[in-house]
Amino acid sequence: MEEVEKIVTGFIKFLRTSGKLHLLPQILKILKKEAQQIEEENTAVVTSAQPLGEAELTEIEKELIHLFGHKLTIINEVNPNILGGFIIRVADRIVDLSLNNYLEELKEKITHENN
Amino acid sequence: MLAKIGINLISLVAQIINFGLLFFILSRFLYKPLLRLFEERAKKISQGLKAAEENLKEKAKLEAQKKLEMKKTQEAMEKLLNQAKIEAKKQSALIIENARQTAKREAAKEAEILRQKLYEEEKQLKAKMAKMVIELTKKTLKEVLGETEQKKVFAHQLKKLKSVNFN
Repeated sequence: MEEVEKIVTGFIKFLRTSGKLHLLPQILKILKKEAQQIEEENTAVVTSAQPLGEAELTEIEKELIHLFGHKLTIINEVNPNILGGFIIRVADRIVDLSLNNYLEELKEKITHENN
Repeated sequence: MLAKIGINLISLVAQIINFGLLFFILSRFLYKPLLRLFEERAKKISQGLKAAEENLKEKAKLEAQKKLEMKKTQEAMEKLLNQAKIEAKKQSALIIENARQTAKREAAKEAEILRQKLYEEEKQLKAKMAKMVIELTKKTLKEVLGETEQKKVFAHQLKKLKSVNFN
C-alpha cells in the first residue's frame, strides 16, 4: 500500500510541476474505467441452477486457472431456468454449459435438420 | 334453102343482130358488173371463210393455251395446297409439341411449388414439435432433477470445460 501511495504522490507531483494538474479528474475517469475492466477480467460469474458447493467452486476455480493462467474471483449466481450445468462469464466472454443451452441447441438441430 | 326449112333470112339476121346487141349490152352493162360483183362476193366469202378458219384456229390455239394455263394453274394450286398441308401439319405438330412442353413445365413448376410448400409445412411442424418436446423436457427436468442429478450434470459439464476455448 505504501508503494501505491508513493506512486500516486509522485504522479500528482509530476502533474503539478508540468502544469497539468487540471487534467486529474479526466485521468481519474480513465483510471476508474481501466480498474473496472481489470476487475471484470479477473472475475468469473458462474451461473448455476442451484447454489454451488465449495467443492464444485474449487473445481471450477482450478479449471479457470488452467484456462486463464491466473486466479479469478468467482461469483456464483443462481438461476433455476438454466436447469442444470453452469454458465461462466468473464468480462464479455461467455461459456454456456447449461442444460437449457444444450436443449436449445438440440431444438435448433432438430428444426434445421435436412429431411 | 333457109326458106324451105321455114327460116326467114332477114328475120334471122335481125335476130342475130338483136342477139348481138343484147349480148353486147348485157355483157357491157350487166354481165361484167354482175361478174365483178360475184367475184367480189366470192372473194369476200373466201376472205370471211379464211378469217373464220383463222378465228377457229386462233380459238383452238387459245383453247389449248387456256387448257395449258388451267393445267399449270391447277398443278400450281395442287402444289401450293400440298405445301400448305405439309406446313399445316408441321405447324400443328409444333403447336402440339409446344403445348406439351409448356404443360410439362407448368406441371413441374406446380410440383416444385407443392414440394416446397410441403417442405415448409414439414419444417414448421418439425419446429413446433421440437419446441413442444424441448419445453416439455425442460418442465420435466425442472421437476425431476434433484441435488444428486445436478451434481452429476455438473461433473459432466465440468469435463467439457476442459476443452473450451475462452477466446
